[in-house]
Amino acid sequence: MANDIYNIIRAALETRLTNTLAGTDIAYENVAFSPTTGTLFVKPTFIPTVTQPAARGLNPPLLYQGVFNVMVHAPEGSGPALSDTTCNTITNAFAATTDISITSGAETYIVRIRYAERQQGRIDTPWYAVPINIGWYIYNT
Amino acid sequence: MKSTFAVNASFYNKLKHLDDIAVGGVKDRLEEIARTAVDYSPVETGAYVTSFSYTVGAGRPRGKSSDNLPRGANLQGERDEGYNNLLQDISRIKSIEDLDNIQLRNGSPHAYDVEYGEEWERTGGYFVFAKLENIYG
Repeated sequence: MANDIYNIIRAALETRLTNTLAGTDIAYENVAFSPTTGTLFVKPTFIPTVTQPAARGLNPPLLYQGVFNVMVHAPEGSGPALSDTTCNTITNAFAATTDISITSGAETYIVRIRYAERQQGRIDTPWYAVPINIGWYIYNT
Repeated sequence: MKSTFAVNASFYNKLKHLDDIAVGGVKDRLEEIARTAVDYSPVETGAYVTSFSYTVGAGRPRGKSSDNLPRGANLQGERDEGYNNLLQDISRIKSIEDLDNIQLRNGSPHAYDVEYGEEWERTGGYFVFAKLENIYG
């Protein structure tokens, strides 16, 4: 299952984001998307970092970890409220210690959130972009 | 009422030895982070990868612009230069007091774009700092 684990982690995180932001435009990776000027959208990026043994011995479980970056794009000049609200919704849905479960086949997997960190926004005309970095990890064989 | 104690000089020597062990451990970790930082960095002109600094004491952080620099820089050469820059900063750490507030920075003007790739059409961001925080944070 190790080869599929990243698909499962991505699905868990993206499903959580989709359900959290119902009605908001989401620019998924490698999917054609044309933003509508004046309408908020978010762009998630799935970034695995390290896979390492979680214990000593033969065939140990593996610890997979990485970052799920969500870039919130609010219309430039619209003030901070719109992006603040969306950022708060996301950081609440992915708060530290949150468990996100997903079932694939007969197995249920739990992706755990280590941190959700909102960073400083920046104008990227015609958008005001605010990055959120969400640290995740999962143990799996 | 007053008491006076004399502290044996060897006690101070032992404390100094403990400090040296702690500083050595932190320096090892900083070297590891430095290696990872340059390995995760893209190299096109070399401006970004050679703009990393550890802030140790006074001094201006490095920051190079990629404007007017030729593309196609030597990947390993630029990464080695970036790594050596950080090793120089680490070598300035002499005592445990120098560890009070060390930050890894990249002062190139396009550091934000390298991180998030917001204005790039062909590639996404490289998330160098996000990855470092995830691994070492």
